[in-house]
Amino acid sequence: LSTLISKRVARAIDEISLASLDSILQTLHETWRFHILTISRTSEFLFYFNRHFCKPRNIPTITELGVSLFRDQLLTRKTVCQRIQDSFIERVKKERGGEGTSLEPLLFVSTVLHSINGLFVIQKAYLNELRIAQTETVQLNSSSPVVRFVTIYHEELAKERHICQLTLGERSLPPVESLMQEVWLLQSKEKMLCSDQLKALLSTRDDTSLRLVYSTFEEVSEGDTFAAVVKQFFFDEVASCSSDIAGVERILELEKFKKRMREMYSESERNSRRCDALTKSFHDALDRITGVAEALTSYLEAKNATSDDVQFENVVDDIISVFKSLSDKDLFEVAYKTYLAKRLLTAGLTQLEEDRERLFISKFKREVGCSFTSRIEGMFTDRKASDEVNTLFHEFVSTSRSLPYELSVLVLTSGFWPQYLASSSSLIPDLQMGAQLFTSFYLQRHTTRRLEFCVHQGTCEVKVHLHNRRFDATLPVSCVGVISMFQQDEKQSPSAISEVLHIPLAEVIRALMALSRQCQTHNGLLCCDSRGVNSITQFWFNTDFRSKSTKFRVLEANLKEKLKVDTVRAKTDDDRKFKVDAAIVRIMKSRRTLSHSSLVMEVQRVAAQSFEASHDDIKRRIEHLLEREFIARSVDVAGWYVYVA
Amino acid sequence: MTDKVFRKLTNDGPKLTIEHLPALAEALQISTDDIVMYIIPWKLQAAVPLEISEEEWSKGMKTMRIDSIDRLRQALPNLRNDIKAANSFKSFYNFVFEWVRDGPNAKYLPNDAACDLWELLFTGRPFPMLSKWVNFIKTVHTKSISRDLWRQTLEFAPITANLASYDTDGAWPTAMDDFVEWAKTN
Repeated sequence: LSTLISKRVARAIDEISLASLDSILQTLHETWRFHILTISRTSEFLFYFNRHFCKPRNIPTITELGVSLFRDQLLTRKTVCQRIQDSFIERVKKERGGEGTSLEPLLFVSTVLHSINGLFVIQKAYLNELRIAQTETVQLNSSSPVVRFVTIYHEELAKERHICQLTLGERSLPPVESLMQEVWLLQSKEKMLCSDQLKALLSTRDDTSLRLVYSTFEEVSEGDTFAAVVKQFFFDEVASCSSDIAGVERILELEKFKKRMREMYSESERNSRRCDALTKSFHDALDRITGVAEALTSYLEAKNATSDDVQFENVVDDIISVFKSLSDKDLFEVAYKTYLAKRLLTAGLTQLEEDRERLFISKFKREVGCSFTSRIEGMFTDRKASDEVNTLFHEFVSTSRSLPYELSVLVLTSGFWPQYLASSSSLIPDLQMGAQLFTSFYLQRHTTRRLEFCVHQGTCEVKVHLHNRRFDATLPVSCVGVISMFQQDEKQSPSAISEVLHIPLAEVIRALMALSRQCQTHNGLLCCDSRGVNSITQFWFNTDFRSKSTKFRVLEANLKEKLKVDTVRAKTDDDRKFKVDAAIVRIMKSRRTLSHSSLVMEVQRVAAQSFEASHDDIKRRIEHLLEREFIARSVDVAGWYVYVA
Repeated sequence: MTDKVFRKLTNDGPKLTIEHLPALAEALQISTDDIVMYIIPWKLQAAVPLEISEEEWSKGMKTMRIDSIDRLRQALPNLRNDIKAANSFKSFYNFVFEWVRDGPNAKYLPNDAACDLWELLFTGRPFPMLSKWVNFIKTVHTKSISRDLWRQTLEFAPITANLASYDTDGAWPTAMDDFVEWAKTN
């Protein structure tokens, strides 16, 4: 039977080989159908016989036999195979070229070939052809921007998947897909994932395109290359931001963009490492910008004045998210406190402003923790408490009638307020009396406290009578004594005033300069005989004094000299030393004995709330504490410390 | 008797102080810079810097079974041997800092004094970069030497054989970090 079938098949295949190139596929298909029909009939027939007349025997079933015979016959004839292949590829080419031919026979043929396990006859050629065709397309598009390139890739991929499904069938999709990936993505990854290409794309902030490019290259495990460029991009962008309002705006924008990129990463696997790397790069770059903490505060200040509630809330959210990646958190605190102190001390806050500051603080508290906000809240509390104290004090003074002028004092808790406020200067006797009165009044109530007057933040209101006009002048406290020396039109020199009032010469000169300065609203209460002021310059009262309004303000002479960033830094550095010392002692006290590396790690963790403590800094503080015998080196284990009670 | 020896050295004073050290050195026929001059107070467990009390002297000499200056002189080689072992050298080394301080409250040794002592004490002991270290302390570090730095120097000494293996993240005093950095460039 086998020979019989084999002969039949051979004859049929001969017929196929004679068929023209166009019709060969059709012929093959028909032959196959006929063959299968024959086989199945034979099979049924024999099956019937088997059941009735034979013992079960272990011979190949007729179907299997038929298939393998067909296979042997077909595959051994190279020319036939070649022709089938040629015809097949020809049709595919036509389809790619856009000539709509019927693809049905192709699918039949692949099914036939698959059934006889001979799909390789055409698959290899198919893939080769595909490679050639696609390589051409890649070359055509190799100079387009990465987004365009990736889009075309996806179009081509979809097309090829479609063709493949129609010709080779579903089962051949994986090799086709991997070939596409190789030809398109892997071979041009250097070109497409280079930093220029991606930076241009990143600059457009086009999330959809970025997502497309990222997910495409992530499929071929090139997500890391992509992430590395993104990381570098963020570092460069952030580090180049200036520390002013425009710079802060850019930082905030980048921060939002970073957030979106992080979201994009988290949609795929292996994301956390990339997210972390991105955050770290952002963080490092932020550290490169000097004065960024101060700039954030000025930005907040500017936005407070110009934006409505909703906008302001958004600004606060943005600032908090940047703040989280800031290492010098304490510098931000100092800057913010300076700004807040200025407003709380001079004008006080309106309800709206206070609401806003409270909003800011409550958000901060939620996001960052209360160690940072407690001192700022303290400033508000101080301000409120001072108002109460003043009311009581006024009652006290009015009953005893012991002061010739009104006195209001703000009681500020040291530690809450910026440190620069605490600098005392000398008071004239009249004011000294008031200060003493208040001190005794206050200490009666709060026996354990210590008061120190910081007069140069204070002001005095003085009434000036001149040519039957009355002016209300608001002066810095330091000017009051000096102005009281000019009751008539006498001339005075700084050194003489200094001697009479027992105030250092430098302070007198500063006060005189403030009083004689002309400004937009008035032309100066005092006149002097030369431009450069020294100890013997003569001053006299300006009888020609004019002011736009009856109320005017004299500003302190050195107000323009803003607090130097350096001095703030120096103070912050001292502050940091204390914080590190305190952290070390506290940790060692609870742990008793600890290895060097764990101690450093613990301290860094504690300090991270407000700044980044370097290993070297911590080491120096450890050494300092070793010398002061708060801790000692362990005798038993090298590199361990013990707490000395 | 020991007391007589002590009285003779101190001119009948109750304490042997820094002024009497030249006399002691002379009696022992050694230089005042000899390491023995530090081994003796260590052996006597002198409690106050730069002083040896009569009680410490007589008690210590009795334990060592020495009753005359001649016997002490004969015992010198033994004394030198006593600091050979690593453990006793450590005890002796740490003692030197305490004893040469400028009074019981002093927390530091002057820079140059410490350098001289290091050169004396580490002679014949493993400290491959001794001269470099002393040079560094004299020219770069220039600050006084704290007890911690003094003690850590003993631990640090053998490590200078191979600076590459030095662990900058370790618990070493920062002076060591700076030295290693300095030694690399010099």
